Amino acid sequence: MKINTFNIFCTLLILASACKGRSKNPNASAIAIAPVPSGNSAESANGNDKSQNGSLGSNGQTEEEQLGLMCTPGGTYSYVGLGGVKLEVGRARSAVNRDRHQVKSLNVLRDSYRQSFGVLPPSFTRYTATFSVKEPRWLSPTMPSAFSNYALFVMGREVGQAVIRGDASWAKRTGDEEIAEGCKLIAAKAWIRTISDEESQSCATYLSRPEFAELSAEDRWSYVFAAMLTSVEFITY
Amino acid sequence: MHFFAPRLGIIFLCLFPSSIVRADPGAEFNARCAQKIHASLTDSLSGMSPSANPKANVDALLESAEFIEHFALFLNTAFNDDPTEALPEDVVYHLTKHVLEKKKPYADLFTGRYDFTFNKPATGLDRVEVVASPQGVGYFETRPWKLRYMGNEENGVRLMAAYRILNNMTGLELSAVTIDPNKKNTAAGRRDAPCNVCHYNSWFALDKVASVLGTVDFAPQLNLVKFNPPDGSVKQILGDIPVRNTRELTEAVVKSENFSFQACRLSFRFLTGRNENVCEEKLFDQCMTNFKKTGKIQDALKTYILDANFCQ
Repeated sequence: MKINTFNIFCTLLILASACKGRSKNPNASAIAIAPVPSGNSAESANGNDKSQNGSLGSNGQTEEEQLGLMCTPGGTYSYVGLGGVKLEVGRARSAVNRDRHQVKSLNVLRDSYRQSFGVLPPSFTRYTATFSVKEPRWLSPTMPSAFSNYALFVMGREVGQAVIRGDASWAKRTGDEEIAEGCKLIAAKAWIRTISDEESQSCATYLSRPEFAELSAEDRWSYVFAAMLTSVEFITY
Repeated sequence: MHFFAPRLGIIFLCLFPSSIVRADPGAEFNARCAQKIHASLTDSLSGMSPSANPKANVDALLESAEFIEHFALFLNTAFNDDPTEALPEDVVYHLTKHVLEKKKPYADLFTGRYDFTFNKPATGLDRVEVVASPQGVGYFETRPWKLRYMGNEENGVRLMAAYRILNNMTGLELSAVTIDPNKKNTAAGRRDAPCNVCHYNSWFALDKVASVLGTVDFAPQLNLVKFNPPDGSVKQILGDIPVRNTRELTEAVVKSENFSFQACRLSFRFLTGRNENVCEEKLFDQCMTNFKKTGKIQDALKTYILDANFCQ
């Protein structure tokens, strides 16, 4: 009886831990292009209103609480500006979310390719204008678009091809364990984290899709690189 | 054995759940955090090294040439409507770099006694140098800036400069509207409703603010532009503050809450790409406290970076 209770407790603990682990990286579970997260989509009166503030997890916590992001509305001070105007009036009522992420600029993207994989996609220079217009002494924001997503996919695939060319072991990664390991290796470089078994399975499923049946193992893997290097976790910081 | 093995597995997971489910998540989090801080401040990842405490080198980053360049670009973009090819015209960029390099207070950007010299050497790159000038009022009294925002109002009223000063220093956002081009686009027209709200009847009353800036004479045929000083009389502007000239105007704004508020808001926008929201009010309060203590924009930025949620 004692052992059964312990088993149940441990099982619950493991489930809770697994759920928490997944919730920290909600964008990474699917290998797909996803929009940049925005807090504006989860508006609520003060960010603590659980009924309005996103869905509740199995443990009764909001997504923000699971992420450890605390909404602390109600600043201590009011700021009276020139003409007696209260300056804090008019702030957006968005909840704290992952909208502190920024899309990587071309500079940061270039450094990310080099630091994570040691290569710069051959097309990088060609696609520069797709991301932003370079003006002297001016900070042109990176503008995500269908064109830039396409460019990211092409460049991600080029990174994969370069990595695969330099390491013959990728062609031999065809068994379940090797595929899972390969997926984890790419994610560790691209997303700087260890992916869950569920995410690894999702990656393996992508690699095994029927459309890829005619492709070589190297080509299939290059598409996995492309998918991961087009994801929010790679293209934002 | 069939029942024993799973039980052992469960016990093992209970003792070392994190080592099984995630490989050193703390180190991974730190690596991602270091990347976010480095990219946010310097717009690059070069020179970044792994660290057990990614926030330990924030001070060093805030002194780096990469941060100074990135922040100067940010302010130049925030304080102007459009880029320019002309190097001397980007006075915001040049003075921001100088203020950050010399570790001057942020207010020096708007009140410091500076001017610029433009060097066009026979070889090498053109250069703009910041020099001391007793008549300087940040970049607002430099000729390139005055020319860029001299406007085209009748009688040489510098409405555009008045708006730019308040926009840069307080974040004031207005849109120029011509309601009736036959009547309102004159000094008399601006006194009528609804134009008078922005031009005469608010704390930022543009015509009143412009009245302490002096006027501009423009002879298009000769391509001559002459800036005339203000008449020296005291004007009650910015609510009810006595002001005679550009220096007194900018010093009055620096003393207001608007100035610190805008510094903290710009800092937040630099790091996140958006303004603070209601959930971030307490953090914003902390920024105001820290910024007012030193007057350094670096301390405003540090408040946000050192916040526990910054890397989430």
